[in-house]
Amino acid sequence: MGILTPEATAIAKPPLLAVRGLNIAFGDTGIVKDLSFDIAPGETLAIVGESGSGKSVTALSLLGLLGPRARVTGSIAFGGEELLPYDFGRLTGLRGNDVSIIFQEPMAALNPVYKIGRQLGDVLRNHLKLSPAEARARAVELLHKVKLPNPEVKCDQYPFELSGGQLQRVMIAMAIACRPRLLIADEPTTALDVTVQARILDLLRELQAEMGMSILFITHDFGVVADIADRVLVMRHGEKIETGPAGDLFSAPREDYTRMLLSAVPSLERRDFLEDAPAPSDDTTVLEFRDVGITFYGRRGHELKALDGIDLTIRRNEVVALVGESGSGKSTLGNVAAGLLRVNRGQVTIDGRLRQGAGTGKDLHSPGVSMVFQDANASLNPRMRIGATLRAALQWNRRYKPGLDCSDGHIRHLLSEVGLAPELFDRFPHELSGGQKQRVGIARALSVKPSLVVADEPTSALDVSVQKTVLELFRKLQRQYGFACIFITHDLSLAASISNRVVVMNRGRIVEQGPAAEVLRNPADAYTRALLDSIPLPDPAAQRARRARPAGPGTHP
Amino acid sequence: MGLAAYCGKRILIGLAMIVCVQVIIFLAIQVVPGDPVEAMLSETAGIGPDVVAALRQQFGLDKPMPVRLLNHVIGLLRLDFGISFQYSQPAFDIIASRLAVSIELVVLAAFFGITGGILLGSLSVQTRWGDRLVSILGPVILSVPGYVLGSVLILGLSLSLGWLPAGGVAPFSDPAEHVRRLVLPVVTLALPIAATIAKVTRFEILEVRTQDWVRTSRAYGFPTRVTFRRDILRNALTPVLTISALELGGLIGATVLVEKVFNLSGLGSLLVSSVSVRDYPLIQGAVFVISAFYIAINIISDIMYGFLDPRVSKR
Repeated sequence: MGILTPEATAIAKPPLLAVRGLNIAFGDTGIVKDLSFDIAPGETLAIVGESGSGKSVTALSLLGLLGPRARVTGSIAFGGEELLPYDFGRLTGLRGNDVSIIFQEPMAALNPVYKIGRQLGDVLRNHLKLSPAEARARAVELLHKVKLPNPEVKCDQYPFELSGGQLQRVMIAMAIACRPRLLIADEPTTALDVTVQARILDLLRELQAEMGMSILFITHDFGVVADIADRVLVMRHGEKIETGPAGDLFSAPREDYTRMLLSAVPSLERRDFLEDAPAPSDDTTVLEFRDVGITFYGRRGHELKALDGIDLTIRRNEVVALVGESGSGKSTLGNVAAGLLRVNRGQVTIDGRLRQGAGTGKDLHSPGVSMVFQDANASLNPRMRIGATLRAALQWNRRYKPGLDCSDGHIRHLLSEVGLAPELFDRFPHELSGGQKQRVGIARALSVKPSLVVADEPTSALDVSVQKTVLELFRKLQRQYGFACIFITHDLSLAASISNRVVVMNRGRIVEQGPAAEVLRNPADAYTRALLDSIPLPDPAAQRARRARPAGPGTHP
Repeated sequence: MGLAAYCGKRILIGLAMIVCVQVIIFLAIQVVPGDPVEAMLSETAGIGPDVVAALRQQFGLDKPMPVRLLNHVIGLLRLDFGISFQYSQPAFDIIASRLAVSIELVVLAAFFGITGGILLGSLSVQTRWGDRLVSILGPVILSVPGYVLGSVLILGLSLSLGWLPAGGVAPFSDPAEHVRRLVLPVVTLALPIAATIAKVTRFEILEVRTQDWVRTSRAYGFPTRVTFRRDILRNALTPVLTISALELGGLIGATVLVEKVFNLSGLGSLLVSSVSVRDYPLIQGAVFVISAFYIAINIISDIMYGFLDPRVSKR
């Protein structure tokens, strides 16, 4: 990203990486089919696609990391040298040296039993002849460079002692240790909070400007693409759908699939608010929190106030989006509402009955509350057929609502209500797609006719196009049945598109709440502003304009 | 919590556990029918009740049970288990004389069993023949009882080939012979340990191999053997340690059959013979040593766990 436009750069210099006719197959299954692309020196190419598009497999194939079962054919030329068929001796010299890579889950990508400094030092000493002391000095220097606070201290800490964002900085330090010419970033910010994501993307941009490396950025998030990419390659089912400069692709996508993907991204700019939703007409209070607090006690007197003086009332027909970053207490609040956690102080009233607080018994369970979980796969018993899973929920709840219908016919009807074929009744969870599993999760939650549904990030594990249809279904059912809902999400645009009211949480407190449109258009709290500013806009021009603005006062504490 | 405080706490808990074991054993012996004096005199005919009473008094068996229990626990604190009924010597001395053989056997068997097992487990992942060795020979060794394995080894290596002596102990003053005589019993004990450890190691390596940090290691150009040692084997060792401790802890008293086959007099055979004649002081002394050994192994493995996995010690 220099003075030259990326297009001009591409013409001026031969490509750093040239992939031609790349085919990747595992056994008889083709994962990538006839893929060709170039990356010019200093250029950032983003490969975008949904799960199963082959984007990560493509990235890993460049370094021969796919394992012995993968058959990789075609041509991968790096710096004019052909890498296929793989010569692993040569690749070893290339890996982490000329080409390095950062991964999605920084916590998993580092070995938990070695200190940060040692792991970084090992990478340095693997390619450069350095003494242990020199390696350590260089490691500290690198950690400075990636702006990790207290590098000297962090050097002697283990990965589990650092946060996700800090670990991703460590991974980036590792990646730039040997001044690579190409950096592959495989969904590097997907597991991070938006404010952290924004700063990691800034860091990558700065390092690229300073060191002049090319970046191959793998992502499913068009906001991130708009923020960082010079050129974009859209993939689907292992094939190239279209490619072009980022600006053109966003303003004038040529293919239907690209258009569909772009329109599926919930956007604040597009005023994608739930404005047509009628304000809750029914004044029945379903949930009431009064001064609720939960404190977790750790070793050495360490205290964590997960919830700190929460006052919240939710009425029938109302969808309340809880937004905040990881650790803000939003899931804790959801768990309290669902009767899964005991509070230290305050009162919780559900359906007019005091559930927690002075004078209540040991039993927290509130029959009127159901949950929809983030990981649909993990929330379904793999050994139970779909029908049996739904029947179990109904049978259990019959002790509270004897009128519930457990018949197979009714369960099949429930399946059709969430848009699933009744034949899925006899299937096992692994035979379903992610979106289908989450529909089963919704059917299970709604089958017991709840007055309150707690949905904890129900769509964050799904592809955008699937997310869109699941959300539409959820919205339809909510209007139909009128249950109150706590919708927990880290995604502000998503919150806007589904809720009547947005509640912003930070460090166990509610910092701001109000009608979705109002909170997101005119945020009153600095933290809300910081969150909003961190979301990359799915429009390269707008994003560039925003980045050019000096950072507002609303930076994250 | 500092390491010293942690160890101190573990040792105190360990001591309390030893006392508990002693009390349980003491009570269990009382419940089992049979009387030591009668067991002792069963071979001799025509003994009057006055002799029996005198013997009971001599052994302190005439006192009420709670008093005996108290005396026993007080004796424990001074490492005094009482006088053996059958040998008329302090039980402590008899146990000490047998302990050397047992400890030598167990420590050597543990060392060769665990290192051999880790080595075989690693080989089984890396080479085809290693895989066959572990997956075919392992179950065979584990399914054969120790005394059969010992007998087979004697038959082959000692009686047929004459390479090694069939049994007995040689004094330390003759080191070469001492070692020669230890080889077969140690191998007999070590083989099943090695088979188990190899299996666990193999399983753990296959598990760790799929972790993301292994991919990172390869992606950063580390040679295969560095990745294996630094990022796979090292992480796989934590569960291996747990299994090793479990395998070893009980071994010190469980070598009876191997002792029988190789004609060694260790702690296991002492315990068995003491139980059959109801020699209370010896039984309790032997159980004390066995439980102390077991608990010590567990404390050591817990401390090593902290070193192998920083997440354990730093929390």
